[in-house]
Amino acid sequence: MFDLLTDYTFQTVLLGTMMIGAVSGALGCFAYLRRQSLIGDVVSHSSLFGVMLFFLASYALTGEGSKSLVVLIPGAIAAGTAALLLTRTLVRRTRLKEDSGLGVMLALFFGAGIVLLRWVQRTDPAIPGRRGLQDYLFGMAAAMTQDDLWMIATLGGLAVLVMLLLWKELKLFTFDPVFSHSLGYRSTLLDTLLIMILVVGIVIGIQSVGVVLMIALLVTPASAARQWTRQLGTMVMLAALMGAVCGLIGSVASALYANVPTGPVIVLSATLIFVVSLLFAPRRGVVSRIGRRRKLIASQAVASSGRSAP
Amino acid sequence: MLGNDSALSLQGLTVAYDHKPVLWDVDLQVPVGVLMGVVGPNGAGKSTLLKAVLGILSPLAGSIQVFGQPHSMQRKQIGYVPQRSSVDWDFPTTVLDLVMMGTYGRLGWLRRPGAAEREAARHALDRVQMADLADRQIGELSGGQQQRAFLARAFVQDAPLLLMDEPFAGVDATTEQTLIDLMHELRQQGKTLVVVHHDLTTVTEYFDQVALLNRKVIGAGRVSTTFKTELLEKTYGGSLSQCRVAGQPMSMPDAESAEGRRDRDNDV
Repeated sequence: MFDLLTDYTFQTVLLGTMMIGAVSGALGCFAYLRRQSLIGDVVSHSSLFGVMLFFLASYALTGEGSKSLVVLIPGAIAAGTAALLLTRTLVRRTRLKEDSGLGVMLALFFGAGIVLLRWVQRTDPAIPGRRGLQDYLFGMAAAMTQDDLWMIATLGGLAVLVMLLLWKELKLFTFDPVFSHSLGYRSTLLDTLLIMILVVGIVIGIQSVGVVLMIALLVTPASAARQWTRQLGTMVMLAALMGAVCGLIGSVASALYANVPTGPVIVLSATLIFVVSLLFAPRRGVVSRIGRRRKLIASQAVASSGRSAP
Repeated sequence: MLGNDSALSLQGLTVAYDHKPVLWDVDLQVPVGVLMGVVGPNGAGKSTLLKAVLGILSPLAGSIQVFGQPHSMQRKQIGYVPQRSSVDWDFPTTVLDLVMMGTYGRLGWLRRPGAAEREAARHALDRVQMADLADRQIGELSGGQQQRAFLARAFVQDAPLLLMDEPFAGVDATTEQTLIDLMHELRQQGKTLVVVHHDLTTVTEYFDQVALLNRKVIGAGRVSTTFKTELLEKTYGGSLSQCRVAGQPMSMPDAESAEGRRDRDNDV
């Protein structure tokens, strides 16, 4: 365990997963408040198709499939965005409801991604570089390289920077989009920006957490943080902190046990934090609410016994 | 020239959702400094009219002028009080933050609210008698307090034309009185108010002018000359029962309760 901390590879992985947790935790707050979890899940699942396409493209160009995030993340962004744009067209042109449209697109893109993945794994002769591709399903933090870390830091940093610069506008738009538009802030612009930083917050995690479970790292810390605070700023910081802790746990697990996929570990630790928050947070927590109700019943009993006493 | 002394002037305004027209060839003049009520049945296009003026919906045809200029150039001249039910009150923010949002239009992109904006918001909260609630979570407010917080946000906007979408929906009698007092105060300062309203029994008491809307404008002008049984019957399709308010014969629709209409009208 102590050897780990000085291990250079481990430091890379640790830094990377904590950054992923922090970024997706922070951005997830906006998805949570705008009720866009499903949109996040579609982006995450659909990105597998883009990952496979860009892997194959790099193989076609260089003779070896690349698993570097520098190559695969642009693919993930392209596929995730394509799925959302197609959903939008579908909903506008037909009478299909948005959630059904999203469901259809998720199935289509994720299905196509899985088909490509299976095909790549079975081709004979083998495509060089294909080993470990299946880890994109459930995540393998230990696969992170120095280049990957840079990619994660650059994109994640950009998304957070946009969030901080446009804090006022994004908060207003998330709370009251109609009023925001009436003040002259273009809704389509803010909506597109929010979705774009959300997409970035998702795709940086597909290697470590995996496309299947990445949505949990987006939504769970935000839901947990919401229990503890009444200010958006505090909520975002708290969610970022919780996400980073989950990333830490995941990277340690990934380093200690070579065959444990990182995604489930990260997600389970996020769930644990969420359950604790739901139970024990002041005011909103279940325990606090039961306590306050008990108090009320007790004081009512005192009041009515005082009245009925002779 | 037409529209020069109008705060709001609509000409031939037609707005449609998809292929369904909601407003059809609407002409309306709102003179500067009046308090105008907009009434009409469920689905008459009252909220749609406000949203078109705000530039949230783009009209199929017609023109919208605000103080003699196209409305798209006059964003900062228009204040807006949305329906209370249009936002999620569980959003993590405080009353002061909510009211400060009224300053965001002036601030523009990237600039952050500072001490001056905070001060303006506190002052506005004072005017709606909610100064002591500034640091409350918005989710803890009662319906009437939520509505007053929205009005405070519009105060901070400080726009000469104010559009209000059913400000009295679901508030108690005391709040209703406070709100109408504040609206009269605003009119005294020379502001123009256009208020979507449901309760026909209070129209004569509250407003100077009234617009009767049912996809088209059936009648518009001074309450004393416009708010007549004949026109009301035309607006509401004849399902009116006579009743007397303040010694005057007047009418209100008996088909639906005001509350029921409110609930279903929210999305129009």
